[in-house]
Amino acid sequence: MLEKLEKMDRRLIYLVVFLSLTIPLIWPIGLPVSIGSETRSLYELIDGLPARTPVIVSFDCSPGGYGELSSGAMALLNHMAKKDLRCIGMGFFDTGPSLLEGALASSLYKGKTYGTDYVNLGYLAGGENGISAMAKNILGSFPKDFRGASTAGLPVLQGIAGVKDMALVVTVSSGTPGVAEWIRQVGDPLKVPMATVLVAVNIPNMTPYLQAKQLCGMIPSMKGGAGYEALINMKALGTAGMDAQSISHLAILFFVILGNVIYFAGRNKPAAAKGGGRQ
Amino acid sequence: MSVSTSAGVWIASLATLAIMSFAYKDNPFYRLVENLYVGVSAGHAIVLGWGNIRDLGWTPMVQKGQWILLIPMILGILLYARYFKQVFWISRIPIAFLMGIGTGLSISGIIGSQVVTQAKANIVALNNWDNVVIVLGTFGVLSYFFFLLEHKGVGGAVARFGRYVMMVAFGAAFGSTVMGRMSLFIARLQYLLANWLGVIK
Repeated sequence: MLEKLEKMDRRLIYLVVFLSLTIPLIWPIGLPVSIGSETRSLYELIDGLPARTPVIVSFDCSPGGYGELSSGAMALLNHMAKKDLRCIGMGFFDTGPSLLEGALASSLYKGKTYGTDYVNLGYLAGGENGISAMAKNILGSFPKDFRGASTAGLPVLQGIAGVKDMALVVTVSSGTPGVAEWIRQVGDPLKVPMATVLVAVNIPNMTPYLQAKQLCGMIPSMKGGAGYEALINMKALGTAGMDAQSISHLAILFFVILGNVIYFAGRNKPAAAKGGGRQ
Repeated sequence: MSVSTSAGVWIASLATLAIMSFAYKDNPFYRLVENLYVGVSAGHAIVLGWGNIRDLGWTPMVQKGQWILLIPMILGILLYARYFKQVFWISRIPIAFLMGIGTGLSISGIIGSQVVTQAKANIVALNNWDNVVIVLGTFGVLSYFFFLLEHKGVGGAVARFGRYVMMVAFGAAFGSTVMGRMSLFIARLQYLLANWLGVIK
């Protein structure tokens, strides 16, 4: 039995994980979604902003990472649109502004006026250098928006001399440049509140920024997205995915425990019985 | 159930399945889509990069007479000298500029945001368990990387505690990574089941 388990085809594990993800998506269970304090604090900050306040939403992510960020980013944009906040979109990943364009078209901003209520300023190359340049001069860094129109005189940018005039900067981040670069060039030196929609793999690295209050909020991965959807009462992809997430975690926990049981049981066996390898 | 009739959705869905098929074993469909992805990403980056050069370099230079921009433009072109053996050395000049500006810009930020502010955030009153864990954990981990004294006795115990703290942190990182990978897979499944097959809403 133990030997059979030791030699189990890894594709069987893939199949179990695949089923644990697919079945709850087709037949949802409705498991409760917990809301983290970091997600709630971002919600409360945005909810307290007066109408027409400008907020930078920077899509610093690739399509590969956007899958887990989309629910949080969409919930954030929908909340901002509900509160009638000005959305100043941009990206420091070349693929970010294209993803932002799609997100804006699917959010409540689609019912608002481009150029007056929201804008997609497009991509600026240079990573951290680009963020630094933008912080010094937004219009100079983005003379044209993502759609190729001149940004000079856009109503959405009226009264904005620089990044200091922003009430909040949110980076939808899947890598570098991302949270750390934004904090170094904008959050800390200009004292602009920073928040992030973040991929799960970066959560442990970025949590110290929350504790140090360099970040005022965070929507971590799909779990954070589901929490934010609950807060704004607009259940969507994040909430739908949480059942699958929970069941798949149970499946992985089961395999982690099984793997350890097999490992420790195998250690106690006499060497000759193990077979294979050098004696 | 209503299967999509959009060519774009079909291409995206079949490409997703081709990539996922690698979990079974390597195959030509996987390699085709993998190469396609790399090619599309490179093409997209080149087009947007060119847009930046045009809008922030060429247009202000030619139309507004900002000829100072000629300097970064020439430095950019010099990067390509690395492809010619005889003038290879010239490419080191723009690389030196890039390194210098990048390092200078980030170091000042790193000292302020990632050293001073983070260190200050660890100076907290020990009036709740969170703060106790933060202070003791930081102290233990820093002790683990203190190599002037042998890790023996009390120092060894503190360093061992630091190692356990790091193990907990690595466990949390692993858990987060699993959550992230599952989220990515869920997003693709939602696309396949909703946008392509119309099985879910």
